[in-house]
Amino acid sequence: MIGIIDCGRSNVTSVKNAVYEVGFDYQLIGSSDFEKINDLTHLILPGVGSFGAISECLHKDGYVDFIHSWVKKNKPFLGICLGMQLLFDGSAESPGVPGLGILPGVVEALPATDGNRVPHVGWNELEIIEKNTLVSGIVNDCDMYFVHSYFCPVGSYTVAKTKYVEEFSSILRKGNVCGMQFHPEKSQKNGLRLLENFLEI
Amino acid sequence: MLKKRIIPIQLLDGNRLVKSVNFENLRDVGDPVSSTRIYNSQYADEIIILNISRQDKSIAHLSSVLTQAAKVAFMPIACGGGVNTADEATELILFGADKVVLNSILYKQYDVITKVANRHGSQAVVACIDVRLNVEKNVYELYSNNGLDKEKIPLKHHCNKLCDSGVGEIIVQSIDNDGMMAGYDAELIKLCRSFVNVPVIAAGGSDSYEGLLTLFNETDVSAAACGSIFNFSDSNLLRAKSFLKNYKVRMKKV
Repeated sequence: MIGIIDCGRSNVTSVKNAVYEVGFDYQLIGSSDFEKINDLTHLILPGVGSFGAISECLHKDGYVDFIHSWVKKNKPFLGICLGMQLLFDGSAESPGVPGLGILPGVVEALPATDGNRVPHVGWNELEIIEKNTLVSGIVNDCDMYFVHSYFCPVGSYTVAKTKYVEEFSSILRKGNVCGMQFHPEKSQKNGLRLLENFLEI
Repeated sequence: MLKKRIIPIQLLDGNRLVKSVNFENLRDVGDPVSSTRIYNSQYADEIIILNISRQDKSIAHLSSVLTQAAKVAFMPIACGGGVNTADEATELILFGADKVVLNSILYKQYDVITKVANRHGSQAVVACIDVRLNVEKNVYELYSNNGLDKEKIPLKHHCNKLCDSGVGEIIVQSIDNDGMMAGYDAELIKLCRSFVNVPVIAAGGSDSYEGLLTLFNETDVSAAACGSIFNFSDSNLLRAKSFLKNYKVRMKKV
């Protein structure tokens, strides 16, 4: 059973549909559902919204301890979009607001330039820089669907990077903690393959 | 580098999809969910679902179709038709839309854009502009309410208002070219593009692969919305993209 964290502020519909499509069943995890954790094999943190608002919600409703104990047991965790950014210590989007602190560093703002508007919205390429089971069956240069204004810098955990003004981590993995900046649930065949790869960890 | 997009546009009337000619003469072109499933299997870059019914404009009906379509569409979905408030936009987003399309309400209240953008981000707000060329005066005129009501505001002024309110993208639809299968109105698209700094999606006039190529060569549109080409011809999305790629139009790699 796949747990999808639903703190009531994000749209989890497409993630639910995608998990089901690749052959897994899911359970929404609200703040009163932590006891259901025993049935879960994988945990997904989808994210749409602002870093500050979602972080506040995760801290206030007790998700943070739940996620930390999950990660400590080395169980598979996937943060999507803002969910990936929340893995870091903090973000330029909401200075002073703590993230989950699972990965070191701070999320930065994408600078707008002539011809490169922010938010970065649309189909853009992955450059795979580390062979990893998470990206098995994914060809280099294939396109994923991105919607974001902030980015996670390239670091030692980066599995794939993407360039839009800046180069940033589009897929990262540390142990069984994974992050995807784009929306795999909206990236058709390749996105669903990535999700399936994660769910088979 | 971002890719150009081909976006099938699906017009909903009741429980069926229809295709119009100059916004009139609706012809049945199938079931919305089956059609969405086909476009998904052909790797559409996005889909647009618009409720153009003149009887049932309810968000409840649109949401019910959207819920079904979202189960088979693993790509971004833009959805609209009859959306008048930010709450209605939120409802569509909760039922699986990534972007909400606003049209007639904007002539009365531009701040709906701002409200939706504040809640969901500007990328979630798409404005659709329906345009006819007034041949006598040689000026483009705007229409609301399914092309029935002429609006007084000039195109440029309207475009500026949309951008000032924080719109994420603009669909520019030529009513004259709609369903005629004779190509897009490149002049209209270029004109709008000169007024705005957000991505523009051209609609009205899709006819052939060559027509799409002409559009992408003559204008810097971000996307082509396609109705007739995929409804009434032997063309399909996979071939359209192969064709365009041969002519160096940047399409996504699957």
